[in-house]
Amino acid sequence: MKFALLVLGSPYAGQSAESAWQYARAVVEQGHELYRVFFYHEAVSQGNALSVPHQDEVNHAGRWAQLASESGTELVLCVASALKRGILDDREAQRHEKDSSSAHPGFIISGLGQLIDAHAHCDRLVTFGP
Amino acid sequence: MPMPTVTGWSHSGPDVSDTRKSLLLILRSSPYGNGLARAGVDLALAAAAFDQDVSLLFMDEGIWQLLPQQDSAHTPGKNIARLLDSLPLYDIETLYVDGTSMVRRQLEPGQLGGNTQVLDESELRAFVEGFDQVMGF
Repeated sequence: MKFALLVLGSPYAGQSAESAWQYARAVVEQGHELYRVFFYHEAVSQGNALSVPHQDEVNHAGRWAQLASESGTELVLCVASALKRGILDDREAQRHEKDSSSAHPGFIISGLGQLIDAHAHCDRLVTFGP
Repeated sequence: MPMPTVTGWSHSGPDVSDTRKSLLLILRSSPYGNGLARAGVDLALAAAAFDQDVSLLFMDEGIWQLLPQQDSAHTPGKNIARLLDSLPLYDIETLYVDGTSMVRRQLEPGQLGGNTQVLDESELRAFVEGFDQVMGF
């Protein structure tokens, strides 16, 4: 079956980020296709490569990127949500004349159309609230 | 009336022309206090702009989004009621409301803005099951 996830929760407040990641891993481990994970609202901070969590805490961007590279999943950060929270890739940093980028290279920054596309092309789309 | 500005979806256009599934957005967040209400409405506008069959169901604290005459002057975000008023421009005509959530908040259908249809507890399950996919905000 073809899955997509909509993730809304911030990385270090609440259970949402952890639940989404564990669910994603289970989808892949059970042999399903994980087509796309769409990070919207506070969840875009899960793609921040400049986060430096404590050693015994989770590095969200790193483990999402690893899961994605193993499973061929696309990780998409909502552009409107990401830019206002300072999550920029090189292209956006250049466009908005910022000195540095912050998005993990395992993620792409794109629009809500990618969530609509996931809705249109997946058998299941599962929301993980904030 | 000018079309409202929706950030986020014009950035890239997916090819969804071959697929048109029904989508229900369940909106359960109060209009202000966090950005979830806005996130839900933005997605509704984007889905409609991509010609998807999208419906909105307001439940729990999301009911408050439907009250007219919201004064958002001292909030950081946009006025949710005004965004909802623009939905008919995108062919989203009817807004669905959970009746139980209204009773619990002592709200009457006449107090809500927009073209609403109230669903009672017995109708709700079949209504939600009628959609291909559901997203929650």
